[in-house]
Amino acid sequence: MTGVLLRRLLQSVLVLFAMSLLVFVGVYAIGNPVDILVNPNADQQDIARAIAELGLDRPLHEQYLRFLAGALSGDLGRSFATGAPAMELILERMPATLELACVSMLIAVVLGIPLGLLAGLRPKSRAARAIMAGSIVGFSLPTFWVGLMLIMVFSVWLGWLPPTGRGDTVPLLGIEVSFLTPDGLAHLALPAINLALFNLALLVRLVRAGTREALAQDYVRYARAKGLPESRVIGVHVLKNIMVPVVTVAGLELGSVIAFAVVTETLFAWPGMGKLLIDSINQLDRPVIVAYVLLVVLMFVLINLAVDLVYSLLDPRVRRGGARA
Amino acid sequence: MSARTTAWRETAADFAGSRGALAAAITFAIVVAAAVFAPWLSPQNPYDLAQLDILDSKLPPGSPSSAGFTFLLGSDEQGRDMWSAMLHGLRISLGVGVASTALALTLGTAAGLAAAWRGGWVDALLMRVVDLQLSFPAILVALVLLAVLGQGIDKVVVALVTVQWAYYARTVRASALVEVQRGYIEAARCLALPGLRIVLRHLLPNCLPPLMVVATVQVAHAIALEATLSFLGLGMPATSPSLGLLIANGHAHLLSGKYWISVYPGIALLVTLVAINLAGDRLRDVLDPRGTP
Amino acid sequence: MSRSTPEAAIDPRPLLEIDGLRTWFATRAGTLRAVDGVDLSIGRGEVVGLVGESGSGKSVTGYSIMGLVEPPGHPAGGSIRFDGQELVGMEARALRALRGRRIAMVFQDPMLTLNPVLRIDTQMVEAIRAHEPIAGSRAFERCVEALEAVGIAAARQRLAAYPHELSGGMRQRIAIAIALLNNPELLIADEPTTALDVTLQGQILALVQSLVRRRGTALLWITHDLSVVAGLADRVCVMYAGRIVESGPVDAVLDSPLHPYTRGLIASVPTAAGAGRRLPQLRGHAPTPMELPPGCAFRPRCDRATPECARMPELLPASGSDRQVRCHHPLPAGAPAP
Repeated sequence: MTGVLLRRLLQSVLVLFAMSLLVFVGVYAIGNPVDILVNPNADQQDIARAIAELGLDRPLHEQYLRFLAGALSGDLGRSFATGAPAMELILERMPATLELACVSMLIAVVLGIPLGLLAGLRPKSRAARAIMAGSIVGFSLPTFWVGLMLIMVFSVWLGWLPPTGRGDTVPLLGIEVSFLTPDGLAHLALPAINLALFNLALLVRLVRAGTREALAQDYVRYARAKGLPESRVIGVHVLKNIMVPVVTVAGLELGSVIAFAVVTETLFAWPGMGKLLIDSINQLDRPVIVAYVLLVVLMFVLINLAVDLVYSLLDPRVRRGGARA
Repeated sequence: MSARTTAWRETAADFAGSRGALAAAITFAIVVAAAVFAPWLSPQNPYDLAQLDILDSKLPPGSPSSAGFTFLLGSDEQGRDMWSAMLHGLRISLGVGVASTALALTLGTAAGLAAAWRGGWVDALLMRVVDLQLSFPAILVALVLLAVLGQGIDKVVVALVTVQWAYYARTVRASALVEVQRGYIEAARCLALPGLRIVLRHLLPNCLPPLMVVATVQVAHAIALEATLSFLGLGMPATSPSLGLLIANGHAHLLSGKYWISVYPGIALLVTLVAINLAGDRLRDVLDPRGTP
Repeated sequence: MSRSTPEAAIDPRPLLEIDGLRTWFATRAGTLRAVDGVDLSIGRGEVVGLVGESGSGKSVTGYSIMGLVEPPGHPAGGSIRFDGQELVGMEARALRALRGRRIAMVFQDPMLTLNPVLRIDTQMVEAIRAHEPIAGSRAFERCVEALEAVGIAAARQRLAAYPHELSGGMRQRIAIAIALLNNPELLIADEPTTALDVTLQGQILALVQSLVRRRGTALLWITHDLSVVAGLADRVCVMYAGRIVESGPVDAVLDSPLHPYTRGLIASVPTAAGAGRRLPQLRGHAPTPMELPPGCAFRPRCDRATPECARMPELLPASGSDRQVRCHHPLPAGAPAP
């Protein structure tokens, strides 16, 4: 167990290292770093001073080490737009994005598992066919388009839910959250549903396939032969086997939800780090972009690591040997 | 050769066996035709500013234009006919989607074949890169690339190719590795045929079926991704608006109830994507008998 | 437990009576008549061997008794009476209460019958608590005893294990222990030794035999292997193409088979006496249940077939009241086995 953990940790560190190198090459070696890192409105003197300050006159490997050291200490430069440290800006916006991502993942899991089970248990029923047709549509539609339709129907036509903003927030453990106030919840509803739909469609398909596979297994028939009630056969024997892929995918998808939050946040003017990224790209605020990329990569690596650990907890076959590649 | 023709014909017959898939394929054919013949189907060249009249701005569907024709699907804020804009947008969306898929397909196939054929460090290196890239969502990679590269049609294509090639590389490598083990490749090697010839004439054709499935689904992904990027204002420039940009233009007017500017390009996008995905789903079932029914 | 050998000896009614059982599978290519008129009865504490080639419908017969036939399979007629109760068309709840408590089953492949993500204790305790409201700790103690009864050492440790940590033989012992947990009156064993090593096969066979004899449990042993039945069963039923073609006391049937198919089966079992000789084989292939010839299904492979065989023979008593055969031209009674 610890051996597996150590190996995974080492891999994670390697991925982080590789990504920092890629970002560095993208910023320093491909483009002109002066354009990217120095405020375009600065005059000649400022530029010269900035070059010296940033060490851009040094050899590349030395610059990389400086970049790495800065990244490790959380210093990724200051925003051109506000002058605030880039990392601080991102961290400020992160709770809003995480709240949105977690709530949408929750929606996807809470709805996706029962719907997938239903479709898997009665594959020929009308409900199952409707669910599967819905999941194909959910897969095909781009997030932004579904979001637009949600706004049109629920905000413009019906007037039930607000189309933009985060609403009232209250502090929970020192972090401002929306889901504990009625107004915040109303603001959270549309973006969270919007972001959930793709993963809902994905989980429905996954659970359906898993259910159908499990139902055909001898161990399910054997569980029935023991005279177990159907609720226990499905709820324990089938579901526990499905949970392994579901948790893996749901965990890995949490990363892509954070990435796709960029679209949803822009659409619903949700003040998260995704919207900050788009704003920064439009303003050519490069230090913030670099900070966003490195932070999101770090989150991805941590999520992958966590999923691996949970995976090994759920599947006893992996837990001891760890031999399955 | 005739055996292969029969196999394709059987595949086609199998495919047409599902009514939904057949409808999807026909729909897609209509969409492609609409895109190709857009200039002849539109009453107006939506990019010719001389043809636009600001007095026609934001008219609802069915209104008469000052030039005499009817705005079937309404007009946008510049007085542009949405029907014409939609057809031309479809042309751009499909063009970018197909072009980037074709490029990524070529690149990815080459990489996958090289990895499977050469093995060793070539394989290890290529596959590590593929793994690394596929561990990040396409939208993130594309966004960051466009942030670094800037805007423009060529940059969008570069971004789309970058996020797609790895899927093809992985697919081709997987099926090529199986084929390499087979007797006929061994036989070709014994004949001392040149490597490139074996790879292209013997290995590649046998890797095509799974590749076709991936390519169908990826065209849809590419179109959706381009639309998303354009919607975010990072994709196509305003001079060549794809469906995504048209939808973005209408976004601001949605709240004031002028739904048609966003909705009709959106429906065109939706129909295109659903048709491709349905056809792709069926294609997978037909070409991969082990897949879930 | 009230059910035990002495009682079984007193009650002369059969424990299980199957009459004209039909289980069909609706497939795209047509109706597959996997079981097409099986008559079978098992007395209390009796050990019956159900023998047939693969595809003869013997496993489906077992599943039909348990009510575990899955779609597209469905009951298409006949009756199964267990202790006087009709099982065909029985309410799902009542059938479930019977399964695992009064009728239990052991499956063929022990690598597949235990749930890979649940610990052994979970899978054993739930089998008890599905039928009795009993404290978890008491159920656990019963599981320990059950494992010890099937010859598993360090039972407490094994209970905390996951299936993949145990060998195939161990897993089959556990499956048997689970089946016997609630002291059922009937155990259906569907080729439980087929997937095991030859050395293990004998051990498992002896284990099941001693367990059911000691407890007075009736046993239906489903197998394709006549030689297994020889030392195990009181009675044997030979199945061909969804029907019983011959039944009777195991020694009588093996010594002088009445049905040509049974004779062919016996002849194809290798024996020490016949070493060095080429084994006789049954002519042709077992027919698929989809394309059965009308009349006797064995007719195309039978050297005694006549035009009369185009009419389906009945399963009739022959050569004494305890033997039955479904054949227009049975072999003469008393004729030696090949």
